[in-house]
Amino acid sequence: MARRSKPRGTSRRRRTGMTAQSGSIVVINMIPKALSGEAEQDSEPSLAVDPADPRRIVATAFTPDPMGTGFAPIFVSSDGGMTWAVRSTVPSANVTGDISMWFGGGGRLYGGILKVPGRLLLNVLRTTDAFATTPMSVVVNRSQVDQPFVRAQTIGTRDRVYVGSNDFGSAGGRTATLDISLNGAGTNPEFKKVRIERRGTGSAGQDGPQIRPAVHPGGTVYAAFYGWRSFSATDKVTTDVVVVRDDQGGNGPQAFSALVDPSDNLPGRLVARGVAFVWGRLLGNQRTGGDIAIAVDPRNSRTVYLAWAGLDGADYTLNLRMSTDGGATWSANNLRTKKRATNPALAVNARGTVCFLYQQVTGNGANERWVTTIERSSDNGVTWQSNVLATVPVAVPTPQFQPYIGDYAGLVSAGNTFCGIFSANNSPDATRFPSGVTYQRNHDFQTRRLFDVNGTTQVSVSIDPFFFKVTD
Amino acid sequence: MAPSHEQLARNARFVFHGTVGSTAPREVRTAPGAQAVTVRVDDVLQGPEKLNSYEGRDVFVILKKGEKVAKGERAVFYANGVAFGDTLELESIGHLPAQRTAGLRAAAAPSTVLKKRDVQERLESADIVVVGKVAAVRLPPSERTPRTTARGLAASAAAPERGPITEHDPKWREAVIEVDRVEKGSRNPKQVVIRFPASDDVRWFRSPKFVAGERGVFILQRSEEGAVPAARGRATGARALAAAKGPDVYTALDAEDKQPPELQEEIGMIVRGAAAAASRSATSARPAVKRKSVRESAAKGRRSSR
Repeated sequence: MARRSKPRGTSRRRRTGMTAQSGSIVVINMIPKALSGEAEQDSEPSLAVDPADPRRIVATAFTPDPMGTGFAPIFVSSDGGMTWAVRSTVPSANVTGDISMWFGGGGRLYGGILKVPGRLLLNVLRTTDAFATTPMSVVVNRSQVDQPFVRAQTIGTRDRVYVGSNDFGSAGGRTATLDISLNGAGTNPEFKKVRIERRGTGSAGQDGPQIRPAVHPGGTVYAAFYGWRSFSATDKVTTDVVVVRDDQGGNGPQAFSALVDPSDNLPGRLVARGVAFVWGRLLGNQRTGGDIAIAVDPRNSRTVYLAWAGLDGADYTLNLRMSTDGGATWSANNLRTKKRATNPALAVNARGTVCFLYQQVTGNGANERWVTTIERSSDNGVTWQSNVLATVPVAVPTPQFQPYIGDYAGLVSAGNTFCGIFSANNSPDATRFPSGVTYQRNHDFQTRRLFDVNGTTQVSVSIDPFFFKVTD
Repeated sequence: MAPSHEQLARNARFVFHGTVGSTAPREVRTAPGAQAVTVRVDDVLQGPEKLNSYEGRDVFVILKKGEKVAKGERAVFYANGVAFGDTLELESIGHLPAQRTAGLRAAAAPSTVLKKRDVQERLESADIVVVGKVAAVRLPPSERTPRTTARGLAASAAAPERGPITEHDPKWREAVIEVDRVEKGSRNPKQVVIRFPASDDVRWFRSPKFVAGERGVFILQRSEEGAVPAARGRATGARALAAAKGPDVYTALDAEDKQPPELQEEIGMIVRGAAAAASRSATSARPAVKRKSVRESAAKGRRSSR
């Protein structure tokens, strides 16, 4: 049996769900002990926390079904993320093309996937018991759709479900789309498509793949997306960063028209114009092609934070701004600017603290590292507390595919707690996890090696999903 | 009549000699009300590589309805994975007592045995199986138009006539195969074309890639997935593949669809064996029943056991 030791400088963490000590950070390698032999590239993670019981958490990544039984797996935790199990309940052949999940009420879990096999085949999924082993049900099935991204909110007794996607079936190249159900828990939930791009997309002929909804508990819904305006012969994208809002949750004939840009009086506030990046250019060994994250303050639906990526000079750079008037106006300057960074994720907790997660390439040449960081501010972005969660070599392991660490990471608030997920090199080296780390899979921190379930066979370093939790 | 080892093994991903430890009722979160027993894995006969190291370890086996085992009993267990947590939970397809499986040992590494079953499934569903050489790799007609032409349309024009810009772009290529021998299929072409994704995106990286000069056994499908990207006014999907001029166009999207040439003889035997079995089935009075794939069986089992 492999020796299992604790990282140096890390005190024993309490295993009591959301009751982690205030300010303490918990980082967990999510690969369970029974999968200690796993060496897949578990990139592009997402996270969902059950609002009715925040100890119940579901996560996803590009982890293939360990058994190859024909269903794709999810990670589940019933103790607030301290321990995880993998079970394959997603109706897609061992893996998905994209996957994200979110909880509604009563423990219902909604998912959006690109199904395999299929050509950009969107399936919106649902289950009444995320922890069961029965496959999730398909409630929407449509092709020519990219990057489904799910959010849900229970209003009264009904689940409102919002699936952002880039729908190539949309006419006129205005592809940014929300699939909306105002009663997702119904027997045969009706989803309507709302096209949220109101402008032309020029030579691009489409919008960017990132269409990100954010839902306030009171029913206000925002969505942020890249309104592409051109796509050059050298794959350079020129784009606007657009935010739309609907105060009735999309329940009306002029859905998502609440925000109008003063420049053209069209719905959709242009938060940034003329943003550029190169489609598919590598940052470290991760492809880039735009990043967007948006979060709304649960205490005040008019306070909203937005992060997006674009070139600053030659550097792919994250920009973070906020609005306190429902997206009508935005901070003139960035609250945070992170060069050579990707995978922004945002959440605001019950105290109004905003948390900003990102993954940044630091150093040069052989010293390049992926550094995963959270920054928190409880004074509207004036001051920030920064914590590094992981700092790992960029070049190890060798990529199996793209995305290397994912086209997105995940962050969720639950009460005063932030729960998040990112993917990174899984070498059990405590010095690479400055906020501490706990492994479930067999490992040895002294020799920095991973072992199979037999405790003796060494396992190669790979990309694993890491859960983290911090209570404000 | 009790099922044979072969029948059970075809529906299970994990097959092993095991010894029943405890049969005391235990709570299994994944299957409330089901009976689960602790079984020590003595010897793995068939299973994914990730599970090779389970020999000597305990696993939980959720028995199927009516299935009985006794403490200390040695048997061959046929199962599929349900959950990987602190321990491995399996769902039983069935088991055969040790006396019926005496001398049963894996003919190869467990993962190789499983892989052969997967190849067999691909062979059964293939439209054509050929042995041959990749004569050339080229862009399909739909990809030959420079991106600048398609994407350089004026802003006022209609949406550009090209496939969407997506990180999941397959980047289709075509491998022209000079056919030496047809192992399965009613036609006898001299050449076939395999449309394959060159992309390293997660959606496509497991699909075989082809390089000029390589030889192999190619397990091919007429697939909707490999169809020419939609362009207005043209046939799409399988119709487009069927309508393509020149050699027949197929896909080989599963990781097992390209096999090394040294397996030609073995694959030929499997194909001819399956054909003979199908012929016997057709001549018998009983209606033919299509065998369910392991994956279909696993899914059905999971649904029905709740």
